[in-house]
Amino acid sequence: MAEWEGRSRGTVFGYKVFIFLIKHVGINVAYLLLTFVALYYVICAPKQTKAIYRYFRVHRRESVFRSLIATYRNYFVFGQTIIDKIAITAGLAGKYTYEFDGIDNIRQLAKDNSAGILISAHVGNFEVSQYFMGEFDKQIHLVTTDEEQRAIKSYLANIMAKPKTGFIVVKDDLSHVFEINQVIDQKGMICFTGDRFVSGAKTLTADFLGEAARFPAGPFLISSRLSTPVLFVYVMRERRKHYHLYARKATFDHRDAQSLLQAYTRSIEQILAKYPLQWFNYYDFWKA
Amino acid sequence: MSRDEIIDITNRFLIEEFEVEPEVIQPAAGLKESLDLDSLDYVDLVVIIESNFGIKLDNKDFTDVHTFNDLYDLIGSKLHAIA
Repeated sequence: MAEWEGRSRGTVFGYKVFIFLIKHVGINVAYLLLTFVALYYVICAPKQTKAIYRYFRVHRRESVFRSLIATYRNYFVFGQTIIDKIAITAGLAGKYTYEFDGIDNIRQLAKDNSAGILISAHVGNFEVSQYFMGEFDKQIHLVTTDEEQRAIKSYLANIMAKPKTGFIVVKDDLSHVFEINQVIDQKGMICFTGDRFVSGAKTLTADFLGEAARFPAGPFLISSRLSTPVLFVYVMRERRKHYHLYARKATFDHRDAQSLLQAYTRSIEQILAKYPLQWFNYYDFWKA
Repeated sequence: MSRDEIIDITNRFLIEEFEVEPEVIQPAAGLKESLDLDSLDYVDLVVIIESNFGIKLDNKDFTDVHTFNDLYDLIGSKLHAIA
């Protein structure tokens, strides 16, 4: 199946173990446990491992050996971002440092008397951005299709402080349409992830890392039609519990979804050139 | 606003925004199938209707909208309510 299957791997039990470690033993011990968990996933999640290996081998043109090592490291960094998300949400944001690149773009968006659209991707750790953007009045509403992981989200919601990011889940009953519309009406900020689609969704095709790939049409059609500013936003993990937030203003032709998509793919290519390990789409992204 | 005016305005923006041929829009035809709407396209549709007619729609309004006729009826009833 080319498209994302609509659910993320992981169990409530796994989260419970990591939350216990983070709260009672320490973040670094949780990272230590991750060295084994990452190896477990390399071996026991062959489909996902194959997809990530292909990303390094074909799209980053790494050698076989370097691709294998990078695949393991990719799982490890992904695990670190999840641990960080839990730790930060659980009140340990002070253990982390961060810096902004393009913060003025977000400040302007938050100040403007209009809605704003952020388009992110499954790279880095966007969900922690809310803790670094507390100075803004506007809440970010993240549009997600990850409905099947409600059990994990509901467990996390029970044990953590109330999240500042609102989630809008795309559903068959179209309730998301009115939630998105309400945010736009109230001049709020909507965030789409522009790199995943589920079965039945319309797609647009663009060249991405040297091969044609399909992207969900919706975020690009909506963003290009509304007269609201659009930013590409990524929160990338660096060494020593340091995060780097990037906010880039999208330049595209009004009502031209394809030109917005091309700007988006160029933008992700640039960010991945700097952070090649932080590509977190564990399925065959390029398979038509 | 008369029903004919509603139909005329609605069809005009549907043809323009969703890039469909005029003959695709038949009163009894399914909206979703004819316009090839996916779950996020409805956001566009709602925004366009609201801005063209100055009405507010909510989740319940769309429950019974399946055909173009249903859409014209919905817009008509909303306009009537605010008249």
